Amino acid sequence: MRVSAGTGVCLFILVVTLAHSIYVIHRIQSIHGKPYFSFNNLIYIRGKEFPGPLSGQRLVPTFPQLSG
Amino acid sequence: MRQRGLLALIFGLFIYGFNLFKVCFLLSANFALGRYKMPSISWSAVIIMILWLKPMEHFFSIQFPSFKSLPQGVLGDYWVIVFNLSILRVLSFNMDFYYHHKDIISGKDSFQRDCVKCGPEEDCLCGRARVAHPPISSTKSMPIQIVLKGEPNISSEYKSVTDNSMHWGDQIKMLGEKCVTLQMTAAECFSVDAYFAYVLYPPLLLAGPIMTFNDFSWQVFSPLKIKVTYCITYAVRWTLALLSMELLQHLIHVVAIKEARVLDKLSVHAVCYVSFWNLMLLWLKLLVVWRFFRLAALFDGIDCQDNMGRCMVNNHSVAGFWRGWHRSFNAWIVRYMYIPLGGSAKGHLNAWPIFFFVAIWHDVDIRLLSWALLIGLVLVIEGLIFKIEDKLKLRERLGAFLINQVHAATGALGMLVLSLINLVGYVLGLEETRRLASRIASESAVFVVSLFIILYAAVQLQISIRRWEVSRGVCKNY
Repeated sequence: MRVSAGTGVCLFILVVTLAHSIYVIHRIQSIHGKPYFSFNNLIYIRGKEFPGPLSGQRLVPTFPQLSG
Repeated sequence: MRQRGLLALIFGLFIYGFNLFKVCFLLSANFALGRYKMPSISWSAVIIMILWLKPMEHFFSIQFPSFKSLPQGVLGDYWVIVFNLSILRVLSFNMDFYYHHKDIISGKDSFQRDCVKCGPEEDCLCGRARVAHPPISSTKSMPIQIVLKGEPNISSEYKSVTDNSMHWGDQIKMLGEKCVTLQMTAAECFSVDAYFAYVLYPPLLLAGPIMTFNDFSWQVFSPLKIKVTYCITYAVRWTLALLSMELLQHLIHVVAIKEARVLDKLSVHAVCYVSFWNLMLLWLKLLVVWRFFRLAALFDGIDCQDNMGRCMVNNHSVAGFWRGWHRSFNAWIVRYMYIPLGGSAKGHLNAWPIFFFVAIWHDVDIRLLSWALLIGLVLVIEGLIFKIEDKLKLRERLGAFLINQVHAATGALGMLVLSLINLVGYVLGLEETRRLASRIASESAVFVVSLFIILYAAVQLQISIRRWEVSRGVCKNY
């Protein structure tokens, strides 16, 4: 696949944006505290606790309805 | 088929527990209604089940509390949610039975009618009809003989239908070398065994992907030769998707941030990033679930259509997104709703009942109803824009370069709208998304322009990917 200069610029913008998004989210986590993981079940049940300003919240993100 | 039916019931007992009696009752009632060969009856039964199953289950649990003490299977109370997928299969069976009966009355053979690409049945080499309609004889004593001769001609259009040209090509080649006789009759094909084997088919019972009955019965009566290497490659891809999801969840805890209801405290660009990664995670979760069950079906020799034809960020039109996301369900919708309602000629009208059905099928919830309404609205607007572009012949007038820039600009807007609509339906809900949209609109011009540039760059890249696909002979309509 030949990548043109325009495509290269677009790719660069997107890579920078993705990197920036991860940086921003890590900043949020460093301010609000990192969640606690319990690996009792790899996917379906994963407890998350915020020790920082979000303390007291125990979040269990689960799969959305399997029907999607 | 009988063995498959029995195995499905045993697996159903494991999954549903004693709720299997309720499931069997509902399935039997629908099977009986399907014998009337009237789509209105089949559809009414399905709509009633979708709307009333949860309230009836609640009523049942209050009236008969002792039933709860019996083994409830793996699913427990969630059997009602999982049964939604079986509802689609029930309708597929009844509608295919109706189509078959209609063909007999009109004196047509489904196979002959649908193989429009290659002409009469004896000239059909592309195998397209195989997916669309199985050749079922109208009388028990009259088997259908299909003669496939010459070199197979697998068109790019067909590839886009199956997406499994890798092993499908070999299957067609194998069929192309010899005469194939199928001893399948209507009575065998639409039997009770076949019905239960299909509706409770273990690998696809929990989460799909959705197969039409015709496709399933075709593959059971005339098994595909699926390459082991294809299954292994698919398993490796699935493992990589699972690991990506795990890595993502380990590094960035966007679901927790979203659930902690702190979005109002964050800056707009942080909210945009959190929302974006939430959508990515949703895409990955569903990808992992669907591909796992499809993989199980592949190992059983059944090849169903794959969902998630593209990455979530590789979409810039609502129509394309809808076709690629839940592809098997989209194929189901096209076959049983879109075409019977008038097809593309009435696309702006039939989008509404279709998306209303899609919403209530997912769940009777205000978020999903809002999602359906917005998707339908944007789909109609998008269709009108495409029609105007064709009518004004903008491509000829503006030239390829300029029209690509226009597409990228409108696509950037489409991506933003698409993201907001999906946030309404699946992540934030209507009120939170409305707040986010108003915050984006009230932000500084620098933020709005930079957001547009990022989306514009993304759409340009998507257009490049599609051009590259076309140069390789891959034609996808999404």
